[in-house]
Amino acid sequence: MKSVKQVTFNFTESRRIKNYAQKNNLEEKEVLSKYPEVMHIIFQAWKKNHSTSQEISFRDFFLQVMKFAEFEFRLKERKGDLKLINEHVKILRDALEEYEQDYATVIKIEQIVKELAGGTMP
Amino acid sequence: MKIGTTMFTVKFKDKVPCDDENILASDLAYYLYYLNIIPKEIIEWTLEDISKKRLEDETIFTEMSKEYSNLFKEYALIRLKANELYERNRTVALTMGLLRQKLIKFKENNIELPLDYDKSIEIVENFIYRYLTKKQDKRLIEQVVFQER
Repeated sequence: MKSVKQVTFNFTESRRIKNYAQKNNLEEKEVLSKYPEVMHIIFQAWKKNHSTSQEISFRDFFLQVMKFAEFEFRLKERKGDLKLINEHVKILRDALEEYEQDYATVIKIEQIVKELAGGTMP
Repeated sequence: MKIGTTMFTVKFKDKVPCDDENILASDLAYYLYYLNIIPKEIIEWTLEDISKKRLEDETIFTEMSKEYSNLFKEYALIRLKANELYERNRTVALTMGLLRQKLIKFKENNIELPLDYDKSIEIVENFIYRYLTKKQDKRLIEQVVFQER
């Protein structure tokens, strides 16, 4: 099988990398340096798996790792969402509860004024 | 180099098996957002380990999604309630304004009521200040938009 030591990204892919770097306030170099690092880890892992089962192709293994990472990423995002919505539900719930209590107090005063002094102004 | 014409090249540490460089480049660009998630420990993992971890994640994800969905519903309901309160504020403001005036007049005219005038006026004024002026409790009017995922 053919093997490669480097890849070149086309314009669209390169722009995606550029945008990602900008969005995350990173230098493009930093983002690009992640690739050899990650590929090295995946390659090592694949070699180990490949030694016990020849059936696993590098691409399949690579995709399995990436899909796992994608799920981890989504899980992390979901955890963040859950934390945020939990906080906001609590904030609103507390605010409403306080409002209801305060409203009940003023309405009690209004009732007394209405019942005992008639609604009319002196 | 002109903007938009950059083409990046990355060199790997190893020679990796690859049938089609274009597909690999496309994969690598596609999975860009997840690169930081891949742990070094993966070197020690088998394919089964990876599948197992993914399955675990899926289970947690499903449970979290249920919780999220319930909270989302609750949030929407409370938000609706808060909006209703906001909309009726004009009526409430009128009532409270009148009530405050009555209390002040009654106090001036020494009309006896089973309440403490000063305290009651203070309560009504606090209510007006807190919920019916520009200084009002922002918690009830500020909206946070959540995605229904």
